[in-house]
Amino acid sequence: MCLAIPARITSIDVAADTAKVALGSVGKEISLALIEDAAVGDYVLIHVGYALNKISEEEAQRTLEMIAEMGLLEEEQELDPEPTSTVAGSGGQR
Amino acid sequence: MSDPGGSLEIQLTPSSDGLVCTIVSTRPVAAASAFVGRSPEETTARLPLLFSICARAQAGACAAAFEQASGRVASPIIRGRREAAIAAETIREHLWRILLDWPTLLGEPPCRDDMASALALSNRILSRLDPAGDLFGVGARTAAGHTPGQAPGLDVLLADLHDLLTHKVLGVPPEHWLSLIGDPSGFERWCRNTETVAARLLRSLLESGEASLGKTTIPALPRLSEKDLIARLSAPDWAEFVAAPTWQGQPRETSPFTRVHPLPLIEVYGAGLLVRLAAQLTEVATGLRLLSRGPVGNAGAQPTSAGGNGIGLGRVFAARGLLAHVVRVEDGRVREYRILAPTEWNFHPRGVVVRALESLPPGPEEQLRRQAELLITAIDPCVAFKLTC
Repeated sequence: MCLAIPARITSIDVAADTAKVALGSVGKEISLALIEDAAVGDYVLIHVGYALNKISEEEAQRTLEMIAEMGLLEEEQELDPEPTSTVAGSGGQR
Repeated sequence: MSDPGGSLEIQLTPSSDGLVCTIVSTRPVAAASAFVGRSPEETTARLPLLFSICARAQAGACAAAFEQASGRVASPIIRGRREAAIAAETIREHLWRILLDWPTLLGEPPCRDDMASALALSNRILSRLDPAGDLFGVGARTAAGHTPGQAPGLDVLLADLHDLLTHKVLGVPPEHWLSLIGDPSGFERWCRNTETVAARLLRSLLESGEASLGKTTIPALPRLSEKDLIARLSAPDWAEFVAAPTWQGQPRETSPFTRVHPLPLIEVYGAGLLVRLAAQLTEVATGLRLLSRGPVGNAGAQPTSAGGNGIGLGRVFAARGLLAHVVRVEDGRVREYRILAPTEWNFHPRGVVVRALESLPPGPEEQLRRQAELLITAIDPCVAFKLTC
């Protein structure tokens, strides 16, 4: 189904309107172009390279727990929401 | 880690008989089984957090299924407001395609600022429709239920949405655009004279002779009876069914195209790419119309019939097609939870996307890839896809 993954913002590049996020031990760069007022430490829902919206830490943890219960998270987390060979732009969000 | 939401690998291979298309899906179609053992209240609270891309559609199907299982029927106001929230979400999902993906199909950068405005507006509209966050609870009796009128402040937000659609998407007021669906000559004038990304993409298809690309004979999914759908989703092979569903032995399509089915345009342009994209634009405009009627005006939304035997079916039309949930509850606990999503119908190994891609004309790889991207985007999976030509 259509899951969006919660992740915590670890740094922000204001000029590029991007952020680095952490999910488990792995980092990933995402776009902040679609949301406002994101800050380091915020949890955001990630979907194919974009932060969709901010959520509370509690909500993020509950969601991650559910994803883990379903066996959809692996031990070595690597957030890879934007497949490298996916059609540029399209195929992205989904 | 691969994306927990899964992805689709779509491969197009030339053969002596033409193109052969294969689709491999890693979507977690049986993930809802994780709710087995939980209470209905816990499930309705958690499910939208998990399936957050179409959270309202998922929550709507979930609530309807539990309500039927327990013999409850939501009030007309609650049903209307749920339908309005799902319409707002559907508009947002289609705008994601139109404002972020369609520009790239024209070789242009995504309209991120416009999509950011649309997303913020969508969030505000959804907050107005569901201020307490309990609209999709089983037996919801929120403030919405005690206020049989328009959600406070919604009019202003809908006016903003109307302006955004008019100036950034359709180039004309949404109601005017809807009249064009029944008027092929007016529709063509709109394509040729409007400068929004949407109009320019459709115009490019007219000019390149690609308007009718991807015609198939895959039939639309008919309206299935509750009894038939519950039986099919409860059968021993339910997991195979939700992964690759067929009805009466045939793959079916459920999408904005099958819902809108704009016959006057189909007669002129065929049931191909141009009309599929037009159907998404139509759902944006009809969604605003539905929102503008307010929850009382939407109270005609059909209630799920009361059951009360512990088994319930919830159905909603989400952005990408029909979404169905079936639950079985015993002793206050979920014993079965099954979800049938539109992407599994449309991206079936013998389904509409496969047949549409196999119908593409021979040509250079670059052309084939571009046309395939157009068709996949028009039929719109809800996960990332990888296309190999």
